[in-house]
Amino acid sequence: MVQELLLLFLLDNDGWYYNMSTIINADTSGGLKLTSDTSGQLELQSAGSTKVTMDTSGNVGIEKDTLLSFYPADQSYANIKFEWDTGDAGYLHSTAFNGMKWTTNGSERMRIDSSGNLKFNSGYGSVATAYGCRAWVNFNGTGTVAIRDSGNVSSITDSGVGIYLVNFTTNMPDINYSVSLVSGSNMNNTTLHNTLVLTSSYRIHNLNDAGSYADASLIMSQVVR
Amino acid sequence: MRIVYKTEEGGVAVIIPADTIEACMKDIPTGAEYYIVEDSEVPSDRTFRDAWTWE
Repeated sequence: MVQELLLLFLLDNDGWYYNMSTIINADTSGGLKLTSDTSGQLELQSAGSTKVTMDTSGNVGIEKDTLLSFYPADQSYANIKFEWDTGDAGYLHSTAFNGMKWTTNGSERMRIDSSGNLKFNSGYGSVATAYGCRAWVNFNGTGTVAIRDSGNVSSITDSGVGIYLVNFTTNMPDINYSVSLVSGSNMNNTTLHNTLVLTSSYRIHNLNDAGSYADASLIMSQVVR
Repeated sequence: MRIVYKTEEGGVAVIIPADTIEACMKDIPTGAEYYIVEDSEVPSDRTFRDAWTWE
């Protein structure tokens, strides 16, 4: 066993240098190298580079760009991996065939299956695929037409009295999505133009009780796909 | 800001951005003549909305 003095220093609050860790280094030339101090902090190194640190509170840190993997007993593959990329994005990988499950209080609450479907319970009664609201908008179609708030909507187009287009920020994958519409007037009938449902937009018609186009001060719409 | 463009039917359509003008430039129909205007340049009185034209 080789003992080696490593010069690892940090500044403390008073500006003094102090040794920071006990180090276990799997060195590529000298084999196992140990550096001991009384800091109470432990570092695991590979070829002199710290990969894992346990501080004095027992917190364990994995260095950026170091992959943390959990292997099954036969070591055949890593079925869960935690990783950072160089862009500081974090990844949680699962290579298990059944996807990933989240449980609380002994019951499954959420799952991403092997096809990428997000499933959750959240009061539904079972863990089932959640179909997302892909776009929504709440706007005033009278006076100075204005969007109150929206999601995945780049704009609305005022095309005339009672006629509005909702334009998507990110297009739908096809035109088989479902649209819900409602206006704030119980005298209005808000409908969808059946040939102008596109991947990039859809067209709303708002009619009054006489069947004529009419503006509405409150129109709300959601897209589910 | 608003984007105003002439429709094929001879009328005027007004694009109201949810966020930035730049993000909704894609919502202008291909080949349409368009103008970027201040909000105040678009009439708030819509009584004759379907008769609007752009000069």
